[in-house]
Amino acid sequence: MERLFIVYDPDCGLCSQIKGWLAHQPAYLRLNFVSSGSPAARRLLPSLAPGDLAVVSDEGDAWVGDRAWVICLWALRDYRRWAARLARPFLLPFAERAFAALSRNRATISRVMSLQSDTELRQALGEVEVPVCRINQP
Amino acid sequence: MYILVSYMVYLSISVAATVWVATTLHRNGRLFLLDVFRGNAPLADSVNHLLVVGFYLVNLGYVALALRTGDNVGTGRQAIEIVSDKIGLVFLVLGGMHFLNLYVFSRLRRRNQEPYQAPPLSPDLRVPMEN
Repeated sequence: MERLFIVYDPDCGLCSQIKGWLAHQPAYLRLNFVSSGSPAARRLLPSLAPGDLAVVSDEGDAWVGDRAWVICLWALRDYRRWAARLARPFLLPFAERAFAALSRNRATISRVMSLQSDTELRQALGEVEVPVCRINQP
Repeated sequence: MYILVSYMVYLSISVAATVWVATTLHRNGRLFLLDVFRGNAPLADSVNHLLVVGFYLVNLGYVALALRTGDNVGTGRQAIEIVSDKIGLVFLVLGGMHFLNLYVFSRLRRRNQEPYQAPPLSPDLRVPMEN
């Protein structure tokens, strides 16, 4: 296994921020981020509901929802030990509940913390008018 | 006279026990370290040697420092009690150092195997990949 495809919700500010954080962490595997609902995401996991988190490996293993969070941590050099701890039978239910609560309230958290989503960022950038470059000859 | 015999007995038992534990550690630790360093024998031997040197230094240092006694040794009974006291402490220090070494081995092993660990959760489903 060399590469992980992480399907995330680009409309959610919290998810976009976490995606940015993940992308900057040293990782054991190459991480490719795919917007949920995009053609690429549909190709990877046709059964995935738009907005749901999923991780798919280049070997075809897929983890969906709360369990995908643990696999995201497992991919990172500094957090693999934490992923192993969280995956233990007595901690996993708590980890899944915490992730589920965070996921359920992600829109509120994003609004309260003014976290910009990738979609909002794309829209904002789309509205910027790029001035035409003119060269004034002397 | 008793004190001289006590010192001799104490030194010979302590040094012999230190050598025995260090040899055991050196012999059995090698396999462990070979696994940690994924078959890199020169590196495993080097780390093993360094650990054993540290083990000898700490233990022999303790044995030397604990040799002196202020108690009066006038009878055979007193001599045996003092030697037993001191050797008991040396064994406890040896045991503590031994477990510390085992802890270091297991920590090294865990850390070095981390990059090769399989995902901690089994996949929820399998999907066909294009390439």
